Amino acid sequence: MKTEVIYRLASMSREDYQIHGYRFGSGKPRVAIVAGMRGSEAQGLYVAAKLVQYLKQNEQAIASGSEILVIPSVNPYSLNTVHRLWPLDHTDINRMFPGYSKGETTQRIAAAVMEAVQDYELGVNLTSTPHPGKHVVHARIHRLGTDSVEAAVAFGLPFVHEHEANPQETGSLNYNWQIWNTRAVSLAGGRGFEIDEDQVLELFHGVLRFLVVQGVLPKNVVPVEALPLQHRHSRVVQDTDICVVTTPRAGIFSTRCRPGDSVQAGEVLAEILDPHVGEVRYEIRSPITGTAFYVYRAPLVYEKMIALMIV
Amino acid sequence: MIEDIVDLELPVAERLVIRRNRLQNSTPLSTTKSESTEKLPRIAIVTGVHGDELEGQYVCALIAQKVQAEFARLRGIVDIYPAINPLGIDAIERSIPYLELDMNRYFAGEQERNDSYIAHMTDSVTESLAGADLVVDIHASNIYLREIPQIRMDRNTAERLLPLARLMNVDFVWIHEAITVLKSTLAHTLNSRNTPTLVVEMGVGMRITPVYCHELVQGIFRVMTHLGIWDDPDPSPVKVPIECKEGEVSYINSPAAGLFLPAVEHWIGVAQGELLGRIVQPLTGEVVSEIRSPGAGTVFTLREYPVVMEGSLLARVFTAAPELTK
Ligand SMILES: [Zn+2]
Repeated sequence: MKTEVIYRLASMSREDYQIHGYRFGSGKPRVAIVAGMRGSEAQGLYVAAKLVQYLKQNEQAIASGSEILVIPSVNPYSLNTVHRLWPLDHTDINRMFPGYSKGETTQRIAAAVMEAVQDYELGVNLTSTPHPGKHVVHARIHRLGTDSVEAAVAFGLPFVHEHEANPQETGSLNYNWQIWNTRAVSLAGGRGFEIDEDQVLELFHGVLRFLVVQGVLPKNVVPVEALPLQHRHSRVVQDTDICVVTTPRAGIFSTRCRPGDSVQAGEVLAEILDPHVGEVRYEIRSPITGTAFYVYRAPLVYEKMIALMIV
Repeated sequence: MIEDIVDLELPVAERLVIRRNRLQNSTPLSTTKSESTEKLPRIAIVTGVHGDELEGQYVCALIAQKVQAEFARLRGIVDIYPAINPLGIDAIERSIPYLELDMNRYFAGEQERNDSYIAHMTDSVTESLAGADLVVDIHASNIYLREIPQIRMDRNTAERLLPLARLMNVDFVWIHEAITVLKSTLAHTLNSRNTPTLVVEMGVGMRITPVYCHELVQGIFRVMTHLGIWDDPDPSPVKVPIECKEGEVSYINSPAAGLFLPAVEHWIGVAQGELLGRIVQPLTGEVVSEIRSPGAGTVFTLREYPVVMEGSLLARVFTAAPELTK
């Protein structure tokens, strides 16, 4: 394992901002794994840390001529202040790609990250969505090339979400990786600022499985849960396959439904309660039979928010 | 007439309401015209998409006062929308509170939106503005930068918008390239729906600069006269704005972290190499950097918020017309 400082910036009041990289193996740049781009992405940081630990212990097993780079935290400044965006100007590093080395601070950070990861054949970003609820673990790709679908199913996660990039997302690492011919997959799950130990293991095993499928790691060094077996195939869903259920009323959001649960059409999945007198204002029912892909998870909900996504 | 454009339930004993004040005079300009069949000309003054920008709040108040004080001059409709992001204004947050999303990136109808209540708000606002003869969307930079009163437009809209912008009594018109992320702004959405929309940027976040507000109000009444909404047989003259294109602006980003202490006034002519400010380290007092102008020109954007990091924008200099002073 080689460690290096990929980028460094001075601050007026804090210690220097630093991006650390961990390199394993040598030769062709095969896989780059990037996490902790936002202060809410501690779950991805945790998964990346487990990968660094694992690859350090199994470095001799990495296929010869293959190099892996892991960047567990692009954004320690936001992680340490529990602030989703860049603390000084509230910009989102993951909307600044490909970056600009002479531009604003977060454009410079994005440019440095892009420079470090752009020659890799495969790119993995452990990321999150801005939704205030919890997702099932899934691989997320943009419709830019069919190659990424093939890369995404190699993680063996329950779902691959093939998502059409909106204008904002043209500034994401994933999108720009693909522009630069890296096959890129984002892995998301859980809820911002939280860690779900089961999802951490699912993601960790998913990345190891991916490395096995790509021929970067041999089967005999990964735990049995990480083996690429037949039954672990992903369901590929498009934006239009996701049934979005919104709240017609506001109030206390009460639910026992969890992402990944199987749900029946017509089943009551959540209730919206009057916050003063406790009466049920609305019962949220699943419009279809399927799997809960996303469940809102905050104490209070507005009118017209996304309560559930069912696939 | 005060109307609710958006009315959404909030969880605890409150509603999220976006209000509009419609000031309307149906009295026709000439008594020979039939008033009922005529479509009244309409201008909409919109602000508060960003909750930390307040210059537009004062502009709205000044316009409401003047229209009501001189109501007989009104020949159409003046719609005032002071708070597109009312919770943000209350919480002193630029974004939509809770979800921390910039509302001005969620106006385009064709894209995925993160939460449908935001889409409901932006769609309702867009619908209520569509078809106006002119929409003026007033912004106040942000808390970091002070801006001279200016109108910004995308190159593709310049042909239609420039004649209106020239009446607005601003100092500066900046015609920039089309930018992908700006496709989902209120202004881009309305302009692409054929409702002319001018974006004003002026002053600084969280503050009011009264002189800029009064200047803009004068421009808005001038453009209202041009559109037949305001009866003023002898409108007072307006400033001829400097028109600036891409490539005529130098960006000065900080080379170091520290406190930025400007050495020049805002909106002033500077020579090439002239000292614009210093970056000082408070722990040691050391001057870590001296910031000099890359060319002769006029400083139209100047850093207001003192704390900077490497990359923070310190100034923008318009380099095509040097030696301008106020
Ligand atoms: Zn603004």
